[in-house]
Amino acid sequence: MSTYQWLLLFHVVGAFLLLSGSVVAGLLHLAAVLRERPSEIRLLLSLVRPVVPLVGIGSLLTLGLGLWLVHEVGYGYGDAWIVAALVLWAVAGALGSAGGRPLGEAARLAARLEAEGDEPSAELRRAITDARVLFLNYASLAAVVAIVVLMVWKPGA
Amino acid sequence: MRSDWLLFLHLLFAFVLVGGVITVVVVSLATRASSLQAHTTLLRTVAFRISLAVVLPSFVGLRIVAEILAGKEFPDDAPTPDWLDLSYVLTDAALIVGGVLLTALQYWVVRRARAGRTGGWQAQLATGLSPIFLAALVAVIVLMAGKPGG
Repeated sequence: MSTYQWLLLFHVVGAFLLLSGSVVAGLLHLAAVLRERPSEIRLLLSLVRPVVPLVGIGSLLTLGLGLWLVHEVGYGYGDAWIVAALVLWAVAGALGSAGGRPLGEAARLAARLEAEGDEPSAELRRAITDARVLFLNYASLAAVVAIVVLMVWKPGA
Repeated sequence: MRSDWLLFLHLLFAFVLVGGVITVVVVSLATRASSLQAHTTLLRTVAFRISLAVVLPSFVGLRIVAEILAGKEFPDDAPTPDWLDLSYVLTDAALIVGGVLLTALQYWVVRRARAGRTGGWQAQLATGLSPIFLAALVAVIVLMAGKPGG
């Protein structure tokens, strides 16, 4: 395989880690929202934790190998679609990080409530269905999907 | 001539499919660490529902779009590259075993778990099959993205 093929392969693998990892986090969060008992919510949210490093690795792979691919193929680093993708990458990371932290706190709250009798709690429900948190996570996912749009159509390339 | 729309759809289905399968793997493996029957039943139920509502639909969508894409890139009797042929074999096997059979098995496992039987070969097979299913998809990703020999 050529250098280009290897770079593209790992760039795509990175994209799968990033996007599919985000899908995993979204599905487990949705499953948690559908439960009432703190122990069940804690159990489901705790399963997001092992996926977070995969999303981070995917994020770094897409960026690093993406930049290398730009050089390898001969695109310009200042091309509008590449600059837009870099901006969206940074925005997605910032939004995803800001949206993920409150869910980590919600998992800790669920663990505390589990230890205190495992009764359904309005506070926990508010924590996992908070509109701001949902917005941050969905906006982060939308930014990553927008990057895929740029990578497929390459407007102006 | 490749359609960018088709490629975009193909990728979206693929991302959702792989995300769904990773979730099933994570949730299924978590049953091994679960000591409470209620939690094991919950995890088995989540695995089954994600297989049914996310994995199967995205797999079917992916396969349909793949067929249209391949038809556009390799029209009529144009020879298809080995990486594509091998991808089809792996994908179809994964769809039958990892998609349909695993979902049916998970339904059986959920019913058993709700009746108080969380163990058994059915549960072990459901847990063991999901990583193999994921490995087959990773192999297809490598073939699709790297196009070795293509």
